[in-house]
Amino acid sequence: MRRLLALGLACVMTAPLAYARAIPNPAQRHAPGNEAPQTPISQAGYSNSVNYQLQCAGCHLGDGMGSAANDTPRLKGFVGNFLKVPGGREFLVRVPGMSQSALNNAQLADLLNWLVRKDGMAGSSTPMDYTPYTAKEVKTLREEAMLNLPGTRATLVKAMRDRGIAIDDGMSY
Amino acid sequence: MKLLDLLFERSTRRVADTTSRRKLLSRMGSLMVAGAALPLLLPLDRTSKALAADNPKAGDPGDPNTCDYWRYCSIDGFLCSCCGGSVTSCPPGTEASQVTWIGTCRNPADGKDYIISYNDCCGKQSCAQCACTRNDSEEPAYRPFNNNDVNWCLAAKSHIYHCTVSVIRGVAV
Repeated sequence: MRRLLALGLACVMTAPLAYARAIPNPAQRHAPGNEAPQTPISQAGYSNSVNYQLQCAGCHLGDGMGSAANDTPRLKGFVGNFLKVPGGREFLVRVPGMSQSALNNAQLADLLNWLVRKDGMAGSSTPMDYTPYTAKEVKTLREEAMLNLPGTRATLVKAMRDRGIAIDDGMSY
Repeated sequence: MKLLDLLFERSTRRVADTTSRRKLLSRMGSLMVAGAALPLLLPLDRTSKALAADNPKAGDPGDPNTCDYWRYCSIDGFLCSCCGGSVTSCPPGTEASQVTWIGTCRNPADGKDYIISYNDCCGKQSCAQCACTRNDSEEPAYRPFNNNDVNWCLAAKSHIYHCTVSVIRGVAV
């Protein structure tokens, strides 16, 4: 009985060592066919919908519904409302997901215009007098960091409320 | 108590009067034969074994149960195909997190870059089978939407990480 107990104890003590491994694996290799470094997305020349998938869809989801569970706002049918309030046009470029993405200025301008198109994700939330973003405008706006994201967003949402715009971005306030 | 006694005696006597023991035996025998044969008659998915064979399916080369499969070019975690699920489906008892990160991998069969989403399966303790670390399209944590060190269970009901699937969302063009 005592011998069995000692054996059991030895097993319990050595098992974690046997299962231990280094993460990340030091002998890590590239996947077959992926040995060459990937083309950076800013040089890849993908379409807007592919850029959206690679840089936005993970959290905002493929259809732009967002994920309230981890504070990702809904884009679909709502994002165009930012263009109706002062400071909103700048916000859409400076918001970290946009300004810190791997897209270049021209790609970012294209992606924004694709998002707020009437037949795009923003739908009818985009105002009638909307003028498309240009790469130059995105460059200027992007270079200035937005230091207080929640404060800026709350101010814009309040301005929307004051104009009678329904806040259906999926977030809880 | 007496009433219960009477009731059970009558019902057992009725069963004994109206059924035969041999009939029961023959029925149980046929049930056992049919029960044993049934799983053989049901259709089984043997594609994983087919893929693991020496001559893999053209167009999707490699063994999805090892880290050396092209779709796993940016996976960091346990392969669901080794954990009771498949390349694209979560094991029973876990929930796929809709919020995820998305990268690209090159398919060596056609040389095209595919958009892959690495959804985490959540709700059970770590599967601990087939640990893979590959970072071919990953970016550092300051760009969290392209990072695979994040626990992407953050939008699922349970935040407990089990394993990761690799879903093709299209060709990157």
